[in-house]
Amino acid sequence: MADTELQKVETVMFQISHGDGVGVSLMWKDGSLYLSVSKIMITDGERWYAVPFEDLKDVSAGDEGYISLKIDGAEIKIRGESAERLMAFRHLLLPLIEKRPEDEEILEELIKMILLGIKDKRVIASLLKRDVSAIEDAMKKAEKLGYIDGGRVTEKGKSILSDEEKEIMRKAGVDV
Amino acid sequence: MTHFRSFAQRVAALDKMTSLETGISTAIKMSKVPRKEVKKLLIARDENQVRNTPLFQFMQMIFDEIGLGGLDIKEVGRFSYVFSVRNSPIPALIPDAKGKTCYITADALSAFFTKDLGIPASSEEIRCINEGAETCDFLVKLNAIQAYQSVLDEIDKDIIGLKIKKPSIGVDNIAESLDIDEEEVKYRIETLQHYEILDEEHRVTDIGKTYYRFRMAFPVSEEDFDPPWQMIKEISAAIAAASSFAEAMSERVKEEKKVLSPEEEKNIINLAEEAKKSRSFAELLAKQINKEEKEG
Repeated sequence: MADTELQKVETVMFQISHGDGVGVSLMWKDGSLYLSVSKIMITDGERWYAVPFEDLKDVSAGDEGYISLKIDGAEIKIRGESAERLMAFRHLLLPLIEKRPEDEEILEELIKMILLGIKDKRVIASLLKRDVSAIEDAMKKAEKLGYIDGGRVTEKGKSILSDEEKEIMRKAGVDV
Repeated sequence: MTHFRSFAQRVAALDKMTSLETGISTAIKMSKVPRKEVKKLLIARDENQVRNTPLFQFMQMIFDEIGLGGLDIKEVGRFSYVFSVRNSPIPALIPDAKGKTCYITADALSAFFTKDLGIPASSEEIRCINEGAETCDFLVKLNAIQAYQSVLDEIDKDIIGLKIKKPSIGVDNIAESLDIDEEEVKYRIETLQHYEILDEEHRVTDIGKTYYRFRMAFPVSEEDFDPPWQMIKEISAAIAAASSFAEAMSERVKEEKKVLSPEEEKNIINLAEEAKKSRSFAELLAKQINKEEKEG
């Protein structure tokens, strides 16, 4: 099959936004999502946008029934007539994306613990089922990256949490 | 990965996964589990005890009905489980993936614990047939505070509160304060030790203090209702009907193919390329917003 031949996945609404937090974004547009041999293609009927598989960094699922394709510097949110079809699309793509390093996951868990007021590395190690040394390494790395400063989580540190995790934190009375 | 090995195979995989996804979402909508049954699973301390709970047997039936493979339990930790799945259909659907493939199954387990059991849970595939393992294994970690809320009752919480206020309080005084007998207090203290809420000397641990501090933010439903396995036939029928509907819809969508004209191909906007040129990408979006505002 040639790369110009496309298979429709779903009728969708989509929104493309710049990924640097500046807030430049388009309104939701009606369109269609397609799959080709090497790319994800999306169209509003006028323009065609392409995301090559090799540039895809993550495909996450939002609470409001959309999936989000993430590439360096941009994000494409997609809602479909069938949420299940889009989730299947996400689950099809995820095994093909290069994985995030495990230490990033430890950092995220560490940030959540500190925000909850748990700072004892032995307690954190017990809760996260990790060695104390792994937590010590993560603490050093978090300080170096500017995620924690003087034992407190910085704004930069809070920014690595997902919206869902922030919501759980807020329910626990934590200011994020 | 830059190209699918077989495009037709990939489209077929998408259709099969849509059918599975539809079965999962149908099952989750119909399978809310009452707290008393959730508690039976949570207090099970080894694999055999887990296998004997009605809730786990229900999970096995639902996995089978949806077509996700044969579910079993491999390890039981404190509020964590390793589930194994035999004969998972997922790795064969994505043969060109190099590593683990079963995100759909991991998400199904996480959604079941979070939505039907009321305990937020993360789930991750830790071994996969696609990597040569015998079974696909999933580590499910429960939100500890919410899990404590499900296994501990008000008397347990009162004991923790008394121990925080007065660490040296003895079994006899706790029994008197709560108007229960001393044997029951001893049993409850043993349970709290098992969950690492109290240490060997009956002092409240840091985990216990954290739980006690945040417990109000994680309410549990006390609502009593019939467990979903009492309507397993209805759930099975709904899963079958939803999966058939999804297959029919996939067939309809499959007819919609498109071949780009040379003109369309020339004007494709490669979002990854544009995003790399950060400023120009922002400008491109800004131009489009301006255009839409003028038009709209």
